[in-house]
Amino acid sequence: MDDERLVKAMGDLDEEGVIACVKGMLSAGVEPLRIVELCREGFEIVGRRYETREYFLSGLIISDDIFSNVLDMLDRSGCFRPSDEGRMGKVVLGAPLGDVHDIGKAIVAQLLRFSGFEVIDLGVNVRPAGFLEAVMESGAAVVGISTLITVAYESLRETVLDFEREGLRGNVKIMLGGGAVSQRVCDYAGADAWSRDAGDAVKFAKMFTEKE
Amino acid sequence: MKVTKLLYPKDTMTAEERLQAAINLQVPDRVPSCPFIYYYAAFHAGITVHELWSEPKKYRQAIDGCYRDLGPWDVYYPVNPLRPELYTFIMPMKARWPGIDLPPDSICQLLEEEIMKAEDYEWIGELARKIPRLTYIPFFMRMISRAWDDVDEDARGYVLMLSRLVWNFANWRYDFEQMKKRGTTVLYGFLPEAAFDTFSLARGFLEFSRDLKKRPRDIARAADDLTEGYLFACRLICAIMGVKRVEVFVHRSSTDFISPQAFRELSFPSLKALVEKLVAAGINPILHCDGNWDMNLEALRELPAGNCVVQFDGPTDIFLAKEIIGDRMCIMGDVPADLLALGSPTEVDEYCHRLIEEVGRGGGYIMGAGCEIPPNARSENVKAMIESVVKYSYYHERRETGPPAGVAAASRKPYGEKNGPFAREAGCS
Repeated sequence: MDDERLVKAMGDLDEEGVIACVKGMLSAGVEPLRIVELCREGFEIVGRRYETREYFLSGLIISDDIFSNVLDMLDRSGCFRPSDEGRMGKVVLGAPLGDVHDIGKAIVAQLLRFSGFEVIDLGVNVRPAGFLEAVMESGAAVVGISTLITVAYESLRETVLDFEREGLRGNVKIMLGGGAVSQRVCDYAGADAWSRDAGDAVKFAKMFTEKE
Repeated sequence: MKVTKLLYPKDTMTAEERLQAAINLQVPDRVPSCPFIYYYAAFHAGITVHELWSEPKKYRQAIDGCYRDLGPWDVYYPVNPLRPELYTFIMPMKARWPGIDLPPDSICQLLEEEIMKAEDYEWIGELARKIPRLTYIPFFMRMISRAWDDVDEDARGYVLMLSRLVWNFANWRYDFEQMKKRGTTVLYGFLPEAAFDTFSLARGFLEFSRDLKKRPRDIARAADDLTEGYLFACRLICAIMGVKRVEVFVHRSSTDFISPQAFRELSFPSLKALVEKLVAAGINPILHCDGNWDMNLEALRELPAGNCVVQFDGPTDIFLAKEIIGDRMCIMGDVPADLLALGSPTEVDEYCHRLIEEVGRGGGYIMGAGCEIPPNARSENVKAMIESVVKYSYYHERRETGPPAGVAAASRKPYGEKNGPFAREAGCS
């Protein structure tokens, strides 16, 4: 019953309801990882509602806040074991050379983390070789590049070419996001997928990692 | 000075008459063109953005070069802040600036940081009670002082900003006169961000999203409190600049950011109040609607008919917009940035032709890029866009078919059915 209430409260972006549920469950000795899992289930409802345009970006940010607050509570409770972040795989994220916009990428990073991915966030203004080096170091199978400016198109293309030159293109899927991307840009850069919608990044990452 | 010259042999109207006819939903001789050139001019001229925006002479040479190589076009879109603080006078955000903290050939980049505090909503209310018509200046002075180190919120800061504004406006006035001499009219005399969207920028979207949940009434009340100050600033600056049109940026009210309900309840009331007051003052508002507005189009029908322009940048289905609001307001846009940068002249020509045929049907349309011509646009693509209005849009040569704009709601397709790949896209270059 508490399980359902927590999932529903998270899905409804009811912060007070979520906090009350988590407090009650911790007092009752429920495993923190179980609580995290239920929050993730609720978060999936948020994601679905975002896809169907019942929720919008501001709603995603609120769900991010609620989830972060829950993780803080569990951390403070002292009985929280390391999470299973990374069970879904690793994703390298960044904004390309010349672009310092961070907000879209930051939201995608949180969505991926909540969905069980380990995110290697390279930040903004990342040179093409930076993505390659991060993949070689981490073994990530997915790269996400977010841009809001058209002058970054060359940098996107150069990043993809770097993977080709190193013979790694077949092992790594590259997805593009942000206001300046489109199918035409995706084709030009030679990337695997694109979207202007943060929620699609999780969908693509799951698809790419499931295929392997 | 009035625009008197005709631009093309088959023209029967001046650019100003053509633009005003389109805004008033009358049928002009042809579709007016407004390409939205600013960063692009620097790249076309081979100068840096820093030079473009700090040296008025080079700005003029760069715009003249575009006009000579790619024009003529009907409507000039002035975006040339000669100092970074002047950009903040419109869009209250911290910025990285070409030639200051970015390479000189970069474009300006805005940072999503909090320069407006939560308590400022209440402070705006106090300002509105004390000096209702003057709220714009102290509000933006506070934002500028938090965004830039060299301007303080004191008497010296006010004098400094005033002198910079006068310098910028004097240059604008001169540019406007030069444009009018060659037969091109000017789109607007001033360009504020709508109050609700101003808060979204100044708070940073993360904090603003929390505000939407925790203090929605404070947002709506503060946006309402700024309306008189906005109106006064628009009237004053439009009078100084000699152009009775205002570009109102609405960067953050699309469904890319907030729900249609939040738009309806928190953003739209103050926007509507400002638009109605501007129209009553004889000023045409041009709403620069970034992002996807498909679900907000119905609300725009409440704005005064035959007086407003709505500018879309790609994510909104502009063809759907013609059906829903085309009988109420003029539509402008939306040649996509990626098409201009990566497409071919033939593709641009085809898309522009479609815009003219469908959105230009019966008048009420202005050809333009979505948001702006991107810096890396191909010049032959920009030329194809500008030329399309001369090739395809003379109304006396056209045999128009299709339903009139603003068809009955019952015959409209529900949201999503008509939308193409841009349906969920967001943002602009």
